[in-house]
Formats: sequence, C-alpha cells, structure tokens
Amino acid sequence: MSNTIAGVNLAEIAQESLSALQSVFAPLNGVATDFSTDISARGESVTTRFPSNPTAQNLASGYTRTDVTTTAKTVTLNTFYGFVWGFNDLERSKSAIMLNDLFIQPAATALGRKVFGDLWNLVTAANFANTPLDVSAADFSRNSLIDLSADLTIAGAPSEGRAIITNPTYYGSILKTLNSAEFPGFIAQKSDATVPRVAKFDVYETDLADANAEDLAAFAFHKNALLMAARRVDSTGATQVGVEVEDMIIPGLNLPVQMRRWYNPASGELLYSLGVLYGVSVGRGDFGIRVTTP
Amino acid sequence: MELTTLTQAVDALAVAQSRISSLEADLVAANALLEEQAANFKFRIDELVAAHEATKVEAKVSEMQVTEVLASVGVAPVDIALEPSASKPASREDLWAEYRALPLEQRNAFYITHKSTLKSI
Repeated sequence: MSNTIAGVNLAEIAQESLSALQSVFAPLNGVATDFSTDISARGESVTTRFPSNPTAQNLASGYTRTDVTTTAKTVTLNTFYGFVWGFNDLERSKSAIMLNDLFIQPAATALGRKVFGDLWNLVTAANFANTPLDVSAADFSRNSLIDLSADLTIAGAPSEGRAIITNPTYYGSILKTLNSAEFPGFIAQKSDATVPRVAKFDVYETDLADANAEDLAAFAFHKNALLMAARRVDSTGATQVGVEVEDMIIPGLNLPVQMRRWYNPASGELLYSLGVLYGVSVGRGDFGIRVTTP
Repeated sequence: MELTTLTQAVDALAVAQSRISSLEADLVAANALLEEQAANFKFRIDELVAAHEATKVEAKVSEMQVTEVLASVGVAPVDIALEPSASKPASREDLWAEYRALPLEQRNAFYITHKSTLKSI
C-alpha cells in the first residue's frame, strides 16, 4: 500500500510537478548532457570523449592508419543541491490551502536557477577564447545571429545542436527585429513573445544570464561546448526509516530529480525536499562564442 | 282491346291461361337452376375450407420438422465460467502498484495514460 502522508500520494505530486520542472530546466536542452537513472555517490565522475576533426587521406596507395585523438572531458558529480521546506502541524491545520504543495513550484524554480547559474558561470573568456561579438542590445538582431552561426561553422561546430542563451534585453532586441519586418500580421510568436529557430540556433531567454563580470549578454554555442552530468541519489537508508522517496525523470531532458517527504514527530513538521545530484564542465571551448556589451 | 262479346272474353281468358302456364314453366326452370347453382357454390366453399385445413396441417408438420432439424444441429451446452477480473476496471490502488513496479523510465508514460484514474489532486 502506497504511503499517503497528508492524504496525497507523493508519486502523484511528483508527476504533477514535472511540467514545472520541464519549464524551469528548458535551457538545458541546448547543453550536452549525460543523465542516467543509475545511482551514484557525490564526488564520482563521468567522462565524455570528443573526437578530433579528421582530414580525409588518399587511399590510392593503400590503407595506412591515421592517428586520431580524442579529448576527454570529465564531469565530477560534485553538486548535490536542492530545497527543503515544511510546515508544522499547527500551521497546516490553520491553513485552508495545501501549504506544502504550494512550494513545489518555487522549489523547482530555485533548483533550476542554481543549475543554470553553475553552467552560466563557466561562460568566461578563459574557457571560451573565440573572439566575442561585441554589440549593443539595440544593434543585436537576426543579422548578429547569422554572423555567430558563420563563426561557429568556421570553428568546425556541427550545424545541428546549436543554441543561443540571451539575457532578456538582447532577447527582446531579436524579437523586435523579427516582428517589425519579417513576421507580418498577428501570429502566435508575436502574442507569446517567442523567438523561433534563427540561423540554426534554438533561442533561449533567461534572467540568469548575467554579465559574469565580463559584460556577458549572450552565449552562442554548439551543445558540446557545455557539459552536464546527473545521476540518481541513493535513498536506501531513507526509505528504510520511513521516508517517502520519489525519483522523477524530466520528460525530454531525462534529468533525474528526487523528491522526498517525511514527518518529524519531534517538531511536528511535515517536510519536503527536491534535489539533484549533478556536475557541470566546459566541453569544446572552441564551440562557443560570447556576446558582450560594449 | 275491349271485350264486347262472350266469345271474345273466352278467347282472352284462354290466352291468359296459356301465358300463365308458360311463366310457371319458366319459374320452375329458374328455381331448378338456382338450386343447382347454390349446390355448386356450397361445394366450392366446402372445397376451400378443406384446403385451408389441409394447409394448417402441413404448416404444423413443417414446424415440427424444422424444430427437429434445429435440435439436431445444436451443440452441447457448456458451463459459462464467469471471470469478474476481466470485466472489472483496475482500481486506483492497483494502478499505483503497477506504477511502482515499473522502471523509472516508463513511469511518466504510464501516468499520462492512466491519469484520469490516478490523479486525485
């Protein structure tokens, strides 16, 4: 029989939370990910290898092996972050709403901001040495994206799997250039203020795209430029003492997220937690171009 | 013609009597014909009644024959084993138990499929 502390199945709460998590973590779709439901311990690492770009050879005189190199990138699962919240018996009794459930969305948002912030902190001049595109928000347009796409192609980045993450101001600039001349009439993109794929880029907007102390406004990249790995957290001990544990997989992203619920009889608190075990790393440093504010 | 003499009266009487005799003969003939026709009509009615009765008998015989044929092609009755679990829809508890038995990668799709039963909030 499933536990139904507070009257609602934790698995149902977890499933109903997936849409919020999917929205919060949407920018991760542009990043190379190694997610698995395998259980790992904090501190373990995941290794990804990138092949070098080979050059075709003349086979007329025979088949001579050409040495190839791979670049190994290790992502250490060094971040186990989440959010814990709860309310005591009196607070829950006095409230007409489900207080604990009310904070699931904010907890998911907090977790998403932490994960994205860790990735964004990797976007520095030291990690991505390509000449940045130095352009003001007012001049940032579709033409800018075309230039960025050309630069990535010159750098050898594959055409598929490209994305650009911008701050809201630069995102608005692209939106204005598209709305003014290229999208006549009243269409869904205008009413929803969304930017479709432009110049091979999936375009994402987030207020977490801060300057990184380097006037950073946006980052155009192939997904191999940034890496993220995540694994499930071992919950054997928790379940043995009666903690409800529900592991979820965010649809599309396959990121494992763990939700827990337990009651502390001493404090009279019903507690929830939402957590992710993950690590982030720079991948191909030549597959990313920063956009900076002059 | 106006009768003025006894002779004329006697002659007229003779003619009238002859006419009467002739009409009586005709009446007898007509009565005979009528009786003959009536007899023929009754005979026809009797024929129809007999034919109707014969048809009813034939229908009864055919019904009995059909019943015998149907009975001969029937199959032996078998016991119907009722399977209440096959017709009863899965309960919410059953579905959650099935959900928990699934690998993690299959749970999202399972929940979406059975959401109307599983969801309570």
